[in-house]
Amino acid sequence: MATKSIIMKYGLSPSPDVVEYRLRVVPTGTENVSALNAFFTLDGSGSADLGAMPELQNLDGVYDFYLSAVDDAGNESDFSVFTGKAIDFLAPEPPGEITFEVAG
Amino acid sequence: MTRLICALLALFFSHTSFAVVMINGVAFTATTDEQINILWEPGPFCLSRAAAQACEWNWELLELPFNRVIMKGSTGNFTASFKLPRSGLYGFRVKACVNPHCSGWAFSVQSEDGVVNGADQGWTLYGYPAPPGDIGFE
Repeated sequence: MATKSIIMKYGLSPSPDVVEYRLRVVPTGTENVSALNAFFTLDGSGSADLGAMPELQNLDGVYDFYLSAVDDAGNESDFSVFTGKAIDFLAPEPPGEITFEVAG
Repeated sequence: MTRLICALLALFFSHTSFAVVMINGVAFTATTDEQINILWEPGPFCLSRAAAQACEWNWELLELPFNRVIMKGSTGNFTASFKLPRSGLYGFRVKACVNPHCSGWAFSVQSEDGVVNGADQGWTLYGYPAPPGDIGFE
């Protein structure tokens, strides 16, 4: 079953030497996000399809998005943050067993 | 994110010497898209009415620690405004010129030249990338 598409759009950093962006997706309320080494690298096109990222296809809940810009020397900016985004890529559990009753 | 540009204001006094290493100084942080305004205080000669119009100020932005000149300009005022061209650690220096003579440099990293919050103290500028814009979803 194909995962649905969720397009995240973001404004680009105005700094001239930015070469990539880092996206951290965490359950809402997670603290100390800057210490997390797990991030997705975005190319700076201004949008990303979350449904096309295999690592995100098990998301089911409410998440905060932290996006930073990185320059060619590896310096990372402060975050641009979006909080409280509900995402549900998981299909619900299937219904229970199917049974039949024959009347009469 | 908003930063207080006034926090980057600094004053210079007369000077002649030069330093590379900042000790007990202050590093002001700014993103590389921010306008930085630096103010210096002229010495008595250039402050005098007779000489004020003859004084020209030549300034340079130096990338530390090797003091590579990244940007320079000249002005008849006591201020310089610019944006940091890229991330890094920078110092600022300025000298007064009355054709054809110039003073020595006043260098921000030197405690006798830089002023922070009214007190003599060396300072540098640390530039880092500006954050991305707003995030939205479709």
